Amino acid sequence: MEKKTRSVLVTGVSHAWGAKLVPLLEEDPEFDPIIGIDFKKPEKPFKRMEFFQVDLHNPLIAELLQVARVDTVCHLLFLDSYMGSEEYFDQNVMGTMDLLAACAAGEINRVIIKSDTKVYGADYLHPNYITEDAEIKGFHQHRYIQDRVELERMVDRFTRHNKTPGVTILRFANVLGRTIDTPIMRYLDSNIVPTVLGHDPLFQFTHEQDVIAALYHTIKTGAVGAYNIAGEGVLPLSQVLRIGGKHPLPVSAALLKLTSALWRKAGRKGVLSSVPIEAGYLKYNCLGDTTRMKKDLKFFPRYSSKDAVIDFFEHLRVRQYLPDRTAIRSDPLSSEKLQAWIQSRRRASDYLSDLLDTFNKEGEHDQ
Amino acid sequence: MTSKDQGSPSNRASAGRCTAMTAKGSPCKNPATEEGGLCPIHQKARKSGPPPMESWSPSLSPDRKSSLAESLAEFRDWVGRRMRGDYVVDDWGFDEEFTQKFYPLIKWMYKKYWRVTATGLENVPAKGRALLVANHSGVLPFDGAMVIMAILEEHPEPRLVRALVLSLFFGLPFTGTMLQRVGQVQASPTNSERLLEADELALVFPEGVKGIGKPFRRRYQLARFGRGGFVRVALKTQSPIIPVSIVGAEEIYPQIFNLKPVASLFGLPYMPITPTFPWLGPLGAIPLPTKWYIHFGEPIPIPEMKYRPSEEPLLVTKISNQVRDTIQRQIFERLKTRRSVFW
Repeated sequence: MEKKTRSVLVTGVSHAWGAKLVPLLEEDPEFDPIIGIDFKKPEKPFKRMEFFQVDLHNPLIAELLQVARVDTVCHLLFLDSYMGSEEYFDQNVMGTMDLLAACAAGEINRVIIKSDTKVYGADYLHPNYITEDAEIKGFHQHRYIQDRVELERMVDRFTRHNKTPGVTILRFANVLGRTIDTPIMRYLDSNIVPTVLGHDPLFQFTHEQDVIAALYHTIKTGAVGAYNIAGEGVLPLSQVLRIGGKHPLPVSAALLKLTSALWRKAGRKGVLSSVPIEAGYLKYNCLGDTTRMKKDLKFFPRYSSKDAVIDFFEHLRVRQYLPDRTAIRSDPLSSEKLQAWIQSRRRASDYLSDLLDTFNKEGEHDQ
Repeated sequence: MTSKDQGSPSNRASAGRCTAMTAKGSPCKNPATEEGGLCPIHQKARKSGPPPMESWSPSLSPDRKSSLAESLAEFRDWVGRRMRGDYVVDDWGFDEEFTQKFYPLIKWMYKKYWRVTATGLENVPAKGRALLVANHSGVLPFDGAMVIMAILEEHPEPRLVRALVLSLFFGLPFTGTMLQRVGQVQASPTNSERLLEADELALVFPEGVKGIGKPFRRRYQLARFGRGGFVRVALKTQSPIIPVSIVGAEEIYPQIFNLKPVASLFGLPYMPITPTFPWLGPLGAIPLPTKWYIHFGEPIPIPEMKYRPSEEPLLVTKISNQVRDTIQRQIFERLKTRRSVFW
């Protein structure tokens, strides 16, 4: 059987998720060519991905999709921020809209979008496990949730009016990991963690490796539709904090809301900006039903929720003993250059020594 | 040792297997590792704390006498485990270790305070799904706790019943968290389907707030049975309905008057005025020590659902009325022979 190759386009390759996913795709000969777009230059060079520094509004993307015969678009470009910003909205929501429009114009098979289970919103009226068909009614206080909710609604509208391309939405539960930065990680990363008095919601977690694995799995298989992705099992927030050895600071919900809102208005970064999670999510459960993930998507996360939490806190504890890498790390691009230079020199010297050898041998013949 | 194990094939087969029981109650088929004759899964489960939920048996909770030093050490270990976060919470937020700490108190309420007489336990299956449907009364939902206790204490094979509690209570601070930790589930069709699909025992009170907050003069008269949602769930999951009648819970707080304006002020469904409640302060919140009777009726079989949506509403109404009548009849049977509320 002849192996067909597929062309994949990944957005946001200069940001954490894209930069992690693309090397995995590069290993797989099925994906050829791999095209990456982002509005800024990537920090590290890629092996065989072709990079274009364009922003999502660029009308050339539609032509690029057609010319490159792109089969699957993996849309990972999303800017997390809990302070309202028109530019971020423009990138997150309007950018996705333009990308989807470009996809609809081209002959794209499938668009994969990364989202969050927080779009369902936390409410005591929800069932414990929310299925993918549930209404999208996340809270509107924090920008990044608001943007995701808007994005999801727009995608929903898009899928109702367009039969092609197929849209796959992966809604991940709280993502923990070692190398990325998510709101929940920012929240858990201080010694005193504010919680809501009298409430102890259940949390699901996903490990960053499972996020990458799920994205890769979805690109590889042909699943379409929305899927909740989360590790097995749930943990109460109090247990999460105890595993991490953190001290909870129970505050009344209204106070927490007020202070974090005031602080956001003031635009400060400080103790209270470490409440990147809205008070609502600290009050009630917001759990995704993962039945469809196991049955239809056939994806099984490697880390259970508890394992992800333990792994995250292990990393947090060790982190303080590690030397500050960012301070002394050399620029990866320049080190690449250095390597190329060394190799060219080595080749030149090898060539010279070969020449010398042959010259010497010829000399021997002469004698 | 190893040579002896390899001697006879049957011996090897039994020795090579894990000795623990699975969550479904059958012997574990995984190969055992060297230590303790357990497979890696069960070893992990043993190490990380209590056994899985299904094998939960309250009779194992410490009744035995131990020396002060021992119990102190036990307590220290418990606190240590809790502080390290080294415990398991199941999919519904049920925290077994935590619940066991309350068990003696509720047991005392069940055995000594309300002296519950439970009958008809043979109608509750030892395995598999079933939907218990009960009448609701008594201002505070003690009746749910007592039905759960009846199955745990008197049933030959104790199981944890998951009571479906009005979602309103899950919105309240402290109460909501507490309810989840002791194994209660928020009442919604999705949740009850999920429970029954997992072959659990679910307990519903179709009367809801209308039943629990009804005035004293209307005691033992069943209120409207919701919109028949419980029947739809039973039809969908093909679970038998077991009618449960509770007698005695109606009199624990004789509600003379419902102060609705105050209730709506605090966002509560009702604000009872009893002969003791606001007048004696917190003392008035102590329930009266009535004598309780809980009867589990014969299961009402659920007809095989042929896919004909037009028939469903009729079937739902029919079964709903059947269940309601059965419970009402069971209540009157008991009331016929009851001589005193307290004895």
